[in-house]
Amino acid sequence: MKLYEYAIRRILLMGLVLLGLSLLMFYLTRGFLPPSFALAPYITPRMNSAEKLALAQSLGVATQSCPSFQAFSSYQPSCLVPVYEQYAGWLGNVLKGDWGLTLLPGIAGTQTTLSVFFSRFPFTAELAIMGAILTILIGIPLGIVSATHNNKLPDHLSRIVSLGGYSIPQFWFGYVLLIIFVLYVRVGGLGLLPGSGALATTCAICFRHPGTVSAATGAPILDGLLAGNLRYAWDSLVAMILPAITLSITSIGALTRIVRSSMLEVLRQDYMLLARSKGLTDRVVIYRQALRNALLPAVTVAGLLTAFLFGGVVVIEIVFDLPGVGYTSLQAVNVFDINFIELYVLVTALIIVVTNLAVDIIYAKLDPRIRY
Amino acid sequence: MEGLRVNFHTFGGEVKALDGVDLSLRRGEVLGLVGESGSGKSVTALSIEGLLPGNAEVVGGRILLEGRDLLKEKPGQLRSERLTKVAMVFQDPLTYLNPVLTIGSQILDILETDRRAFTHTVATARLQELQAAGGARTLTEAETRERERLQSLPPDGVLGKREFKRLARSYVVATLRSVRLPEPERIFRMYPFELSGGMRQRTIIAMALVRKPTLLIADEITTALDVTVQAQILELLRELKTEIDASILLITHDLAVVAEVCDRVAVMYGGNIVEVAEVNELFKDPLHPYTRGLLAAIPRPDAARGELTSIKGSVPNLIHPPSGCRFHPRCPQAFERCPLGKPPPVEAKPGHLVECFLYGG
Repeated sequence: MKLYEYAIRRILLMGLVLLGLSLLMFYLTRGFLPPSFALAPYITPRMNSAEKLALAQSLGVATQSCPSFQAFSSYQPSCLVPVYEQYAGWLGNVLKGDWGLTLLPGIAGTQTTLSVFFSRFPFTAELAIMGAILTILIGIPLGIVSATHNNKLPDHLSRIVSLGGYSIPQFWFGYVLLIIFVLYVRVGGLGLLPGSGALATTCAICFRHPGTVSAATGAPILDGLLAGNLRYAWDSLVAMILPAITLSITSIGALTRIVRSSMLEVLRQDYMLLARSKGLTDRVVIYRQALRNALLPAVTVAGLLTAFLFGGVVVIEIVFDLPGVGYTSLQAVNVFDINFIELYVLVTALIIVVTNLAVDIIYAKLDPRIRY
Repeated sequence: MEGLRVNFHTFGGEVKALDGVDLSLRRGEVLGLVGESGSGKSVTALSIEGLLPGNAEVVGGRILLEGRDLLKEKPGQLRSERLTKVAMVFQDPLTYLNPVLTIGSQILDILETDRRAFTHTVATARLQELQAAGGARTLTEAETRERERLQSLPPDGVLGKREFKRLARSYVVATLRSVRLPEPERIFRMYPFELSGGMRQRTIIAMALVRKPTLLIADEITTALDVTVQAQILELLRELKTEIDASILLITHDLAVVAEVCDRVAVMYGGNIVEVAEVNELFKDPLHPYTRGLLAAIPRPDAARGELTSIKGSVPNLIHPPSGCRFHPRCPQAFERCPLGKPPPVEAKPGHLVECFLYGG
């Protein structure tokens, strides 16, 4: 089977996975909460019972034959629509792009779930991508150095960093960084790096030129670049440093350790002896002959770490008070914003299955022995 | 190689793997190095390459290649000796090839490591190719111009990166053809796992040959192959012997292989060379008791049925090697002098050296 045929089959399967997940999630939210929760974003204090009943019927949670809103909210069987029927209606709406209104504090009932989500998602994506870049840029070289200097000083240092990074709770590490760089390391009376909030201005070397940038995408660095305001982009980058480091510390540790151990394994192989006996330089031996073999397990782990990064974003955004979708999802859980939770879970799941597909494809590209 | 001594540091203690190995190899000669497992054959080979594992230490001796001591060279120099002079062919062709790189790129890597050193080789190969093509048909204008340019290349000239790569490719394909691989252009693009054992061994030999080495070390190259493929590889080796201008050190535990291709034989036991002789001489008149034992242990279909002959005992523990001659505990002809001191090499006959007190010393 060709790689693209395999990819197509996997993409079709991906649709099935998401469908199954949405069903499970729908049952967990709508099946276990009282049916009136679905009305919450739409209800205004001035609505009378008849209007509320009409609303419940239009949302598909109350039957057309339901006599009164009273009967609906006291769960009379004749008023309740079975969950699978609700699901069918919901799925139809969702596929049309209608995810309902949001219940988030401050904007409840005034904005659609979709618009809130996608105005905040780019910020989170930018943070997660920065975390991923840091993970790869630090984790892989650190692992290589560790393996090529096995049991020497660089290896010991890298092992301390990786094991430490892997073991430190992220939220704790984030607060420690904040204390160090915002409270103690001060330049001109202000902290070296901005503290809470991506757009905080309590920082000596950053955000001196916030300027005005139209939030075209919602991702601050990208917006700055698109608007041609490089200072803004740079300031945003500086503001993202602490959150990104905190986010990636665990995955750096995990990736370093896996690269180190698989590199050590590869360096022991017979073909490394042959490569050296061929008179190749160390650089060619390590980066051309060994690294590609050693990266195979690392690619698998990197796929899992991506999922981890998107999960970790929730904690990071709370610690650093950032306006991303992770923080928002926590708010959504607190107020039972069912619509938002559903969208959040499905988008996260989509990211994970796409990453897994990417991992499998990269794997096949790296290792010619793999056939689909 | 003079008085080479190598120790391995292990948890059990110092393993005295090589205990004063003297070996000389003449230009264009095939020397067989035989001995049972653990006698130090591979360690000898790896010390020439400077590729001993990290726990090994060369504690004495010299390895001279064209007058220069390899043990005194800096790692970078030694690497370039490996690149251009000393090539090694290893035992198991599957595990010694990188699984994720194509055959072609694994060979090209060698040439591209040092464009200066290989420009001449690559250009000459192309000229020969053009020469051959010129005999069969008239060359195109582009080919004629290429020939003129290559002919006017100064002896220390270096080809440009792209042209070097193009010529190196065709040279590698030609080398693959010279080790009798069918469809070399296709094999160039294939991965090791797509080839058979014999083909892999041929590509490893090709890796050694592209460098036009002065010394080729072949470490148990036929061991991992089945008998018919073994015969083919040996046949290839014999043919190559006449084609290339290299000395070959053939390491094996198989005396039949030695008899097939070698000019001279050195027998190793417990980190010592115990006997060196011309191949016919050794088989006709083995002097050292260990060599005799080895030859007697070859099963013969014409001999009477019965138990296989063997040498009693097993390879000595090299952490605490036997005193004196390391073979004496197993030697049927040992006498009181044997445990007392290491026997010096004695030239029992012209060109026939043996380390045994039976022959004086």
